[in-house]
Parts: sequence; structure tokens; C-alpha cells
Amino acid sequence: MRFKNTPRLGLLLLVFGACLPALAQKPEFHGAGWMQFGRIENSWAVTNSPNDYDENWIGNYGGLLSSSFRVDENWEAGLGAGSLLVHLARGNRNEANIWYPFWVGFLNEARFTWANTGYAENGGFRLTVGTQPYDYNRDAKNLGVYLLRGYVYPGTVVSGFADLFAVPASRSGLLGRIHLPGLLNGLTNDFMANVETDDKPFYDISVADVVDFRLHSSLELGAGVNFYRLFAAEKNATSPGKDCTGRGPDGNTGPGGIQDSPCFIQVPNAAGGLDTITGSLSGTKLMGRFRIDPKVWFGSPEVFGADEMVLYGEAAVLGVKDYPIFYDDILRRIPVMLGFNVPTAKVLNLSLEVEYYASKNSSDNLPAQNGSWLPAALGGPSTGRDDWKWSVNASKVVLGNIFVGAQVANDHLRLGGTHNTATGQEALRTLSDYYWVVKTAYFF
Amino acid sequence: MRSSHLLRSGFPGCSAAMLMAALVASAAAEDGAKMRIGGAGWMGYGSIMASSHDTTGGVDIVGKPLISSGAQMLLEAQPGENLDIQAGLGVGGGHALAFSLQNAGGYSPFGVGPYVAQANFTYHFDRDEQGATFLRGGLFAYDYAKETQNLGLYLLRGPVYPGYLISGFETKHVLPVANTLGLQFHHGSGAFQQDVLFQVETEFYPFYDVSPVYLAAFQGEAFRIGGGVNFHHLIPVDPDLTTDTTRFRYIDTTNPAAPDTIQLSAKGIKLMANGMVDMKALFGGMESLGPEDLKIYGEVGVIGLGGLFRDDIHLGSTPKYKKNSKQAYDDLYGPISQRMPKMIGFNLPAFKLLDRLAVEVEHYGAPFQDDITKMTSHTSSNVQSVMPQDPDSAISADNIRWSVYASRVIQNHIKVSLQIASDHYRPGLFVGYGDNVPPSTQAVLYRPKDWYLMTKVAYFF
Repeated sequence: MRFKNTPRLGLLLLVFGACLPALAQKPEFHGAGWMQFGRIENSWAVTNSPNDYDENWIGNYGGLLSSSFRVDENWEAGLGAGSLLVHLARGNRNEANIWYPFWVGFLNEARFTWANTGYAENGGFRLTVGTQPYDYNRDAKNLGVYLLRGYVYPGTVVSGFADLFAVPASRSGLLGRIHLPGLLNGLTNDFMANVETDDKPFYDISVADVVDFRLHSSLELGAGVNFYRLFAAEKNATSPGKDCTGRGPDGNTGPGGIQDSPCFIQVPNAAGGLDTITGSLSGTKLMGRFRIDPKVWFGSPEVFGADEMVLYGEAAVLGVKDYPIFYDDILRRIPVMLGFNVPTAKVLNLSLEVEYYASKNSSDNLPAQNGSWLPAALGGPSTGRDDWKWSVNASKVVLGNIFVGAQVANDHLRLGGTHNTATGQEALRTLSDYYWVVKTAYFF
Repeated sequence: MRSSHLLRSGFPGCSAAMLMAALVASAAAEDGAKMRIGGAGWMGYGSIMASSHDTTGGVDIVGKPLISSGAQMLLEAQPGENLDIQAGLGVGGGHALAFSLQNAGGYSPFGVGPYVAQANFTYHFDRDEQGATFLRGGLFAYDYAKETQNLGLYLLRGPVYPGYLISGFETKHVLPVANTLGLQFHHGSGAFQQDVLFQVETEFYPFYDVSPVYLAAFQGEAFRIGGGVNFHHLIPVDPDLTTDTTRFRYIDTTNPAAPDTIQLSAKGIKLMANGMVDMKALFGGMESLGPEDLKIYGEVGVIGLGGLFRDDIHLGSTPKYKKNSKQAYDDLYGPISQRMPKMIGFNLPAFKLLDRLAVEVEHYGAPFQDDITKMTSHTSSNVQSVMPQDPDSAISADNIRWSVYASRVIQNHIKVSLQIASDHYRPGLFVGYGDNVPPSTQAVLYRPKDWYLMTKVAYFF
């Protein structure tokens, strides 16, 4: 069917559950497929434990369709969905008999956009409602993007190659976005309200704002704030007080052995008793980033690709409020990453990224996934051994429509555990841990 | 296309969404690119008409409705002169057979799941009237015997050990939807066609092993003769799973005083030969007949050569035992003659009233139960293994399978099809919500007199 066949296009819209008036322009259609696989070469997990990730294969295979419809000069809508073949971690080989692949569907995009001055490159005000990919740090290949990924309390950082369902947290449940380029020359402001759909408690709304400012063609600065879970769908779930049923830290103990609840902290008081400190999953994140392109200083020689030699970095504060014991040092709630696009004379895109995050809490986000604002019990290697993360990423588009790439990294990869033993533990927690993964994708 | 946007998102956690974001932002597959969109929907209805299934405990699978439905969309693009890309998604719904009135009231829930209809690229090194050479990768459809509607396709369907066969009503293997994950190198020159496949295992444990396959055929207007070999699971992603030294073992007690341990593996070799003759050509063509009428076709496979030759079996590190594994393979999977399924099909003359009216018959003398549960269950109590289920209590009762298939396309966009068959249909048996075990997948037709009726209406553009 050709696109100009509008009656059938109407049928297509009906299939997607969207009703639009006559279209001002032809809709655009896109499709992609991919094969991705790799292996964890070394993991800290105890040998022969169920979640022993040593030599575990990781990967997924899938496809997606997407289309966008320009209704008129101001209105646009986008739809996209995909499906992929994934598997939970194999774990220890003794668990392999419960290892199997399965199909998962996902929503890539479902939004409409209104632009007051149309869709020119530097259009003015735009409002987008629905779900759409959003990434404020276009340089980050793996590490970073702290503002919109992961929790505040506990401050578990998210990265890795294998977002299980290939849906990055930075875009999930995007409710609204206002795009304000041109307010000042080089200034872009994104305001958004994200509905939580990834982690329990669901449907809380986080309000965030991201500002980008291009001071010079060689220098770009950005900053943002995220009032994480500012509006709770169920207050007792987001801020559980003293009474909760959420899965907790399982015997997590702070100094003095006083931590025994997933909901609150008890600390000794001057009278010799215990003060109960309650908390919340909600909190405030701050973010700052930069992007420097030194090529500009030398006239942007054509031998280099547009992004080569770019140095970029990001830092964030995961929670501005202190709590005793677990969140009493703000310096340990600040992840910092630095990345560099290695010059390759357009042969490929090669990036190096490194991160430092000095949190001494467990990186296991399973309690948080179940509604606890406190970290999981410490276990495994010393938390000091996972302060540094690194990632090497290489990619290239060949034949115009085929993407090939590879990544080697020691990052925050979480596989979720095996079929019978769920965990939010990171797979890589010592300096000798790493994995590799390769991918080819074909798109139009 | 603004591929720089794609490059910036790079390998971004390599999420599909980010990739797609790049694609959407990019200028649309270039306006000059050739692109087509297609879609299909369907609904199916059927029932087990007769079964010898054990009725102990009130189990009765006869007469229970089997309903299916689904829809899919497909985009095909030719962004470059030598490059084709397909991307398609589908959602299918269906259900297992209800076990008995005592379990969940005698019905089973209707499940709906997504799948990828196509997700592949094809790079053509040449494509002209004389032949074609291309490389294809991803999730794609592959069918080496397009006449086959139900039985057959032994080379690429099912495991080697045990040699379970796969068939049923319009399975993905006979439809134009993705049934293969991997790579295909194709070369064709005149009547000669050959393919090398690297097939990634996604159906049966151990998963993700790679099976190299070679197929060749001479394809004329009125005949085809072909053959192939499948080195099943030759490239394991985890050799310790594919050749499990703790579980995949056979104890030969021929000599009770010195029992012999034989190491088994999911690796194995399949062979296949097939052919087709269009009888119409013998009569110089007949105007009153449809293009598929009077075609006779057949296939024979060898599911596993294990034990055929004297093997060197390596157990442990030292010493290397030299043993004859024939006893093990023959005992578990039958002698080589029982590992050879054979099928023959004939398209009856339908005089253009139907597009196809195919009768197929199969013989397969496997001595083990036609129960694939052990290969597909994934609970701690059901170990996925190359060991077959218990020996068949009536070994020869299910040796003969048969199928009658009829279809017609109406108004170029509606396909109506029907099948009655006694084949390897495994609908799964839903025992109840409290059952943690996935629906078991034994074949439910045990005798030639057991059969089902399936119908489907599909609408496509």
C-alpha cells in the first residue's frame, strides 16, 4: 500500500486507536530490527549461587514500527510500538533449566505535540503529551543521565546496555513537555511531568525541568532539577511512615544495629531511647552538565566527524535532604561522569566514559522497586570497590541504514536475577568485573 | 537521513527506544526510498474431534473450542539499491486446551502476546533474472519447501535429541512471518539454489546455540529436488549446557558388572532430502486447473546420526574412553530407521474452486512418547534435557500422521483456510490457575483415528 492511499491510512489509524482529522502532510513511517548479544565475562557474585552471572549471555532481538503524523502546521502525533525476544539471567548453570526466552511488547511512542510556531528547527513553544523518548544528554552512551534515571532514596544509579525491555527510564511515562527554544539565543528549556510506570509505587508524578544553554559553538552547559515523586498516587506507599508492608532491607543494620524496618530509621537520642526517623521515596535531584567541542577552536577540520573530540560530563545530587545513617553525607550522593569521543577520523564513533560515585549503600534496588526508601542490606564485595565505573562504546552506520556497534563496560548493569530469584543487585561490583556486547540494527 | 543523530544516540544503552528516537528524528527513510506497508488480521476456530487422550479424572479434550485471533503490520523499505529492510509487529491471541471441568471450570484463559513479524535486512550482491546472491540477517521467514502445508520441514523444525517433530495448522514455519533468527547466505544461479543458514536457537533448550545449515536445490518450472544438512547446535554459546556432563548421560547396563556411561549432547546432525513434481507439466498444462493442483511432493529426514558411527567419547579429563555409543542412541531414540520421518503430499485437483487442496501423509517410527514437555518446561522440577519422555506405550500407534488442507483467497484480500489432521499438534493442556507448571505440550493425537478440525479467516493488504 502506498502512503497516499488515505482510506487505508485511516484504517491504520484506527488500528492504533488514534483518530485524526485530514492530514496536512504525508505521515512518516519508520521501522527497525536488531540483534544484540554479549556476555558477562566476570561478575562478583558468589560462585554457584543462583545469581552467579559469570559467563552469562545477555541479549535481545526485536523489531519496532513507528510513525508520525503532521495534522497541520501546529499539531503532530507520533505512534510507535515494538516487541523483543528477551530472557532473564541464566544465573548459575544449575539454574539453567529454568532459563528460557520470551516475547515482550513495549510502547515506544504515543504522543501528540502542539507547536505554536510550527516545526522549524528552532521553533518556539511546544507542548507534548503522552509518551516519547527523551534524552537531555545526547552524548552519553551509557553512564550519566542521572536526573531522569534511577531513584533518589535510595540513590541507586542506573546504566548499562541491557535495560531489560529496551525502554530507557529517561522517557517512561512522559506526561507533558514544554520546549522553549529561542527564549534566549541558544537557550532551550524542557519542563516535564513524568508518570512513574517502571518502579513501585506506580503512578507517582515527578516534575522536572532541564535547561540547556549554548554559550558558544564549542561550549554547551546544562542543568536540571527533578522533584522526584512530588505528587504521590498513594501517599502511604511513597512515604510509608512507620507502618508499611513493603519489602524492606531484610535485616539491614546501621551503626548500632538499630535498623530493622524497611520503613523507618531509629537512632539513639540523648535520653537513651530511640528516635524514629521516617522518610520517603520522594526527593529532589539536581543535575549539571557540560559539553566542550575543542575542534571549533581549530576551525572544525573536516577530517573529524561532528562529535569527535567532544568532551562531556555530568554530575548530579541524588537527594538534597539528609537522613541519618544512610544518607548523612551529600558528597556520597553525587555521581560524576566524564566522557570523551575519541577522534577516529570518521572511521567510527568511539567513546570512553568513566564515572565516580562514592555511595556506601547497597546498589541493590530491589527494595526500592518494592517501595522502600531505604537501601538494601549490604552484601557481597565492599561498596568501596564499585565507586568507579567505565565504559567503552564504538559504533558505526554502514550502508546508510545498518547500525553496528559494540560496548565493553563495567557499569550498573542489572539483570534482575534469574527466573526464581529476583534481585536488583548490580552484576558488576568489583574492578575486575566487565561485560561485552555487540549489536546490529537495521532501520529506515 | 540525519544519521548523525543516530550516531549521537550511539549505542545508547542500545535501547530500541533510543534507536527509534534517532530514526524518527532522522529524515524519514528518505523520501525517495521505496516503501510499502501491509497488514493482516485473522480469526481461527477449531476443535479436537476425536482423541484417545486419557480420560482419567474427567479429562475430556474432545469438542473443546480452540479460538485464535491476531493482527500484524509490516513495513518494507528499500532504502538503497542493494538493501531491503523489513520491520513488522504482530499480536496473537490463543489458548491452551482446557483439561477438565474440575480445573478452572473446564476452560482455559485466552492469552495475548506480541511477536515480531519481520525484522531483517537483506543486502543483495546481485539480483537479476539469472540468479541472486544476498545476505539476510535478523528475524526472517525461511521455508525450503513451500508446497508443504503441515507435515515435513524436518531439517529446520524441532530438536535432534530427542527427535520430536513439529507440525500443526498454519504454523509460523509455513507462513510468511519470521521463523528464523540468524543469518542467511543465498546464492542462486539459474535452476540451482543454495543457502547457508546460521540459525540461532530460540525454541528449545539449550537456547541461543547456533546451528549451521546448508541447503541446495534444483528448481525447475515443474520439479524441485533438494537436500540439506543441519549441524544442530554445533556452535554452543555455553558448551557446559549443550553437552551437560552431569545430566545428559546414558548408563549402558548391557554388562551389569561394568555399566558403561555414555555422554550425550544436544548437538546432532539432521539430513533431509525433498522433491516436488508438478504433474500438470506432464500433460502440457491444463487450463482448468490451478497453479498448485496436481503437484506431488515429499520429504525424508534423518533426525540424528548419533551412534551410527563408532564414537570417541570423552568423559572427564582423563582417561579418554573409547566406547561405542550405538547402544545408547538406539535405546533412547531408536535405531536409525526409526529416526527417519518420511512424508508425501499431493495437491488434489481443485479446478480453481480452491487455491490448494493438499493431502499429506507421514510415517515416523520414533519409539518415545510424542511429548515435548521436557524440552519446553522451565521449572525447577522439570529439567530440560535431551533425554526423551518415557517409551511410547504403543510404539507404532502414532507412526502414521495425516493432514488435509484447503485454502482459497477471495477478492485478493481474504484467505479462508481449513485443515483436518492427525498430526503433532500440541495445544498445551491448561490444568488450572494453581498450577505453576506451564501448559504441558504433549501431542494430543495418539492414533490415526484421532483428529482435529481447524478453520481460519485472514484478511490482509
